[in-house]
Amino acid sequence: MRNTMKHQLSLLTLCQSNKIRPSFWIQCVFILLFAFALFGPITNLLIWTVAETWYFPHALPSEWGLNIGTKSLILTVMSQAP
Amino acid sequence: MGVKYWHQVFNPYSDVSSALISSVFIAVLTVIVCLLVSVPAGYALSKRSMPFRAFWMLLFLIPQAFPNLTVYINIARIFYDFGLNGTLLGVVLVHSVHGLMFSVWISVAAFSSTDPMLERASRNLGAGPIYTFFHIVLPQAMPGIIASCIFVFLESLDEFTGTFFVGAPDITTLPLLLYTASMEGNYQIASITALILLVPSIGFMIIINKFMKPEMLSKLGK
Amino acid sequence: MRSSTSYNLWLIAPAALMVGLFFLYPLFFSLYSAITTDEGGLTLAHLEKAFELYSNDILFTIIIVLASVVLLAILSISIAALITLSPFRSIVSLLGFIYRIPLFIPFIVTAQMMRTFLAKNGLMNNAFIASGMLTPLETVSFLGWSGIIIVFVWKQLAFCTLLITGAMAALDESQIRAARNLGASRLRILFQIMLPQITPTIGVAMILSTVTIMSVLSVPLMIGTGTPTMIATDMAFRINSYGDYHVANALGLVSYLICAGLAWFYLRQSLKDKGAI
Repeated sequence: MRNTMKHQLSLLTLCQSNKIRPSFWIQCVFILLFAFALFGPITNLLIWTVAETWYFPHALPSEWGLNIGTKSLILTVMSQAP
Repeated sequence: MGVKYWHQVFNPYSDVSSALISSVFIAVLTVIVCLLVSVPAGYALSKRSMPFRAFWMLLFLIPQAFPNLTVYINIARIFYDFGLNGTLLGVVLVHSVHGLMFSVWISVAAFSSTDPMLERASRNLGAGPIYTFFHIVLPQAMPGIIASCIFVFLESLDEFTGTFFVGAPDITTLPLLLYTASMEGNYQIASITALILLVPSIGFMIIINKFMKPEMLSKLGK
Repeated sequence: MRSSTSYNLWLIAPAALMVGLFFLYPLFFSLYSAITTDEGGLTLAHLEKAFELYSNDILFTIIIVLASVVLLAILSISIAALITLSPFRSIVSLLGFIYRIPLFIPFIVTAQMMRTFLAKNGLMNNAFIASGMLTPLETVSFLGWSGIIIVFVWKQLAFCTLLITGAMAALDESQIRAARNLGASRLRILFQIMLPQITPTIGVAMILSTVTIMSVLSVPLMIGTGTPTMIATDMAFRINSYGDYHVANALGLVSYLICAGLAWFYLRQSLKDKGAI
């Protein structure tokens, strides 16, 4: 008798905590997705500023550095020089 | 590696540096033009006795209420007749009209929050209207006017469409450079330029985050 | 008194003159140019030509605008509702900070970010591949109509949410507390108490977003690939390739009409709610 009551009580608390939990986790997932959508493009931009070579199957740039951006900058300047 | 290349990015002869210099120069001139016309207008419109006050306020809202792409096309056509296309003045004028709404509305709010008793006291003590304005009224409205300057500066820095029609190809600002580099597939330069544009925007957001409470925004324009 | 009034008018004159000369004049000029011939006679030929050449693009633009506005409304209301109503204060305060980040990011920077992010080898597809949700062969590029919608929603969401959160915060709190005490769920409070009171703000946010979407040239140029495309691109093309101001202005007239149509729909709806019609 006491055991079943205990059982019922724990079931009740479980139900109550479950009432909170799903909505909590749904909100967490929502915010996480939102943060991914928000920071993903910004991160991609930041990676591109320091990427040397980055083409299709590579998940991240295969070469990192500050050279190519600056080199091509200088080249455009030279090609425009009279 | 490192410092040497960043030095070359900011070399005054590189594309990015020259675009940055002309962008900042245009933005500063735009702020000056907006200040010159919107401070007097804001002061006059802050007086409740102003006739047709609502009409004037709405007039300055119009540039934000219509899709302005068509307007820019026609400004470019009109400017072409006056030889303003591809000139600094033309671009500054286009940016100023766009920024005018912010500067006028914020100036009105700034001057409305000044104390009219101080102004009256100064006049009663024998000070002229111009002296009173510069020594009593303007200092009180300064925080709002500075905020409007930052808004106009950022709007001008980020403006693409107007510059595209009126300034290109003679004037190259950062957004135009970003566009050209991106269309050529030169993503590194496009991204570096985008980063340069991003820094003041994010910086400004963090600064005004304190003042930008949604509750305050709902009171705007009331 | 009279002298001070005219004195004040002189103070406004320079600013008003600038708006008149550099905005209103070109605005009326565009309307005039859209419906007249070079000789000055009234004609509908430019509008007909615009529809003939670009009816697909006009339809495409309307669909893009409607889809963006609907997505914006759903997302901004959900975020604003979460911020206002959620019982989990700590995660919500985080949300309240990060949603504002795009507010001051320029459209052209957003377009460049998305151009690389949504591409076939962009970070988004790479993240899906790394997490095992996709194989490299299954990835698709989102540049095109979906990319345009994503950029507009990404950028305008901050502005819409800011306005709507502001309206929600300005609501009478005692009403909501009373409803809570009567046992109403949060969802029910949102739909039956809060939303009906903030419809004007939602309408204004959506109309301002529509005007913004119709004004932006960089996004369709940089994200939209191939046809159909948005009419902003067509207008730039008509000018830069043919110098054809009449058809460009006719398309401009169409863009005013799209905005006006949405504004009219909103005004009618809000009048209906007040029982005026």
